[in-house]
Amino acid sequence: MRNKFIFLGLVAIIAVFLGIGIIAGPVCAKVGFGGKIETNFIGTVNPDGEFMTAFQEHLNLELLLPRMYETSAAFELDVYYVPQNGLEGSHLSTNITKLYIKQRFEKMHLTVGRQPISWSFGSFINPFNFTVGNDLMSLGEIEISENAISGYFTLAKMSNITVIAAFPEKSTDAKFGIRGRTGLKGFDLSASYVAEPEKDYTHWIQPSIQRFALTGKGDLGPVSVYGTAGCYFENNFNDGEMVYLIGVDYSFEVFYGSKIVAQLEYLRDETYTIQPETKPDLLLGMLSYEIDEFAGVNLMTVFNPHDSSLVLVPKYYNLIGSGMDFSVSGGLFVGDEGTQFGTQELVSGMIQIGFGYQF
Amino acid sequence: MSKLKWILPVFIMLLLMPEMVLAMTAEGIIKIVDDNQYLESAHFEAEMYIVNGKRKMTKNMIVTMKGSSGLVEFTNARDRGVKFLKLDGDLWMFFPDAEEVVKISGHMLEDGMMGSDFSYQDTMESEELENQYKFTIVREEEVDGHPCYVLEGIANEDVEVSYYRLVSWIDKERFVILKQELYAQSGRLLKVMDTLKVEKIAGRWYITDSVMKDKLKKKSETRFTITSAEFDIEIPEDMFNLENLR
Repeated sequence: MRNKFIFLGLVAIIAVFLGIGIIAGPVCAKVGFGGKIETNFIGTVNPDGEFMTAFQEHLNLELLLPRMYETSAAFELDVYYVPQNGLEGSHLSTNITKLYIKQRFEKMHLTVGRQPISWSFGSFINPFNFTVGNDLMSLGEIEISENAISGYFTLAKMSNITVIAAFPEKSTDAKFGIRGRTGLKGFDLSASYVAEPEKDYTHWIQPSIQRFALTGKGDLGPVSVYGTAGCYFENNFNDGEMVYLIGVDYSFEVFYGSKIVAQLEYLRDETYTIQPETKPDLLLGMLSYEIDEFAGVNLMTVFNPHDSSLVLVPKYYNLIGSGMDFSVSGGLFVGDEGTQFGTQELVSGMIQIGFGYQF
Repeated sequence: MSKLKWILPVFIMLLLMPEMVLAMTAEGIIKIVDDNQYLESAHFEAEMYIVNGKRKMTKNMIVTMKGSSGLVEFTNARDRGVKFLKLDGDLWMFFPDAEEVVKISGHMLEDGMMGSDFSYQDTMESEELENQYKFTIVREEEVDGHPCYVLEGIANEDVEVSYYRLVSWIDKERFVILKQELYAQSGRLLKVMDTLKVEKIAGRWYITDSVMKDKLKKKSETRFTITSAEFDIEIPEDMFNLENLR
């Protein structure tokens, strides 16, 4: 509850700043809107072989605000029309992804408000991101915006430290994080620490947890390699459980001018935060092929070596014209009942056909 | 008679002038091209017009560069807020949705930047040509009515470049490249660049409109047009760090 009040306070402060900015004449002239409208047809097949369809609409709206000297602000929200079986349960869902003000000081940026926080380094999964989701199938779609105050300190042109205090809605305590990052001989290296408070969800309590990790990415000849290793612990680092991730990506020419990009990643999660208990290992892979400047295909797969179940996610995309795009993607779950990716309780396969327009 | 004393040497010099120009070395020509093309610092707005058959796409960008460092920000609707930072030979990319900064894998640098026929490496190579290639004059030809030197450049062994061999048509009058063929070490023609417009900016001739054709792709070309430019301007050194991607 306390965090809710802190967040509402932040929102009020930002709203005042945004209001002043918009009202100010010269700034007002440069304010604009941008975003994306999407409509998706979603077809799902349940384990009984029934095919169900739904349409999902999505609006992403961004207020384009000019930077005023060393101060900038951002406002962006997503509005979804969430379909349910039968129209009764269908509803609109809104999510503010950005509502912050940023002040640039010499050698430091201070950002206050709702902001996306991502410590990505190019992997499919980052088990030590500031926000870690336990829904593997979201694969990067995890909500990464936090109500937070963050400070970004520049030490050198490729070295910096980020310090964050966030205020999760499901907790009365704050969440803290610190990340140091440096570029060294072509390698991107970082060390991070997050202290996550206890969170009260409706049906369960997520205990407080801390995590510390080292991450690296760089090139070894024509192959790019990356990896992270770290520990999840409650109070004592030595009693913690380890998570390891290693990945490679490589591209090769298949015929004149056409390349396939391949990425392969291995995850071992001994904390069972990401993976189910007794099945700590996971393999992820993706092949991407750019047909031309406007269209491409890719195939992603996630494989559990313990129960030989897998999920296949093929996708085709096409940039139709100025701002317009079209995509078809699927999801096919393969495996016996009770396996990680075997036929799911509600869905055993899906197809999504979408059109989008960016403005 | 005293006038004749001056006229005669001047007349002889005028007769010899074409021979003197012809006597220019490949190094001398490339030095002048580099003087025009190589920028200590610049800030410009540009448009990339990507064509594949009947399909077209436009991307707009703001480019700030100093020495070997560069910062590119895309401003068109589809890519709004995407930024690239070239720093110490590495390329970093900023994704605006998640506001994250990721180092681009080395093997991706040969790929077309944002779907264009210019590779990331093309945009990153800001070194002077004379430091990268050994040039020889192979012939003289006209391009669109402009007399040109045709120079062949072979990459120096100790330098990493995208193209092993260049054939460049250099305007004899303005010393800018009017056409360039880019070859792989295997001898395969990879790309052809044609200059569409040359303008005098800050006292130097500079290519402001060009088209790059990737010869390995059918019906594919990217036109790159500089819409406004400032050269040799004061840019603070701390402009090029990871902080300014955010």
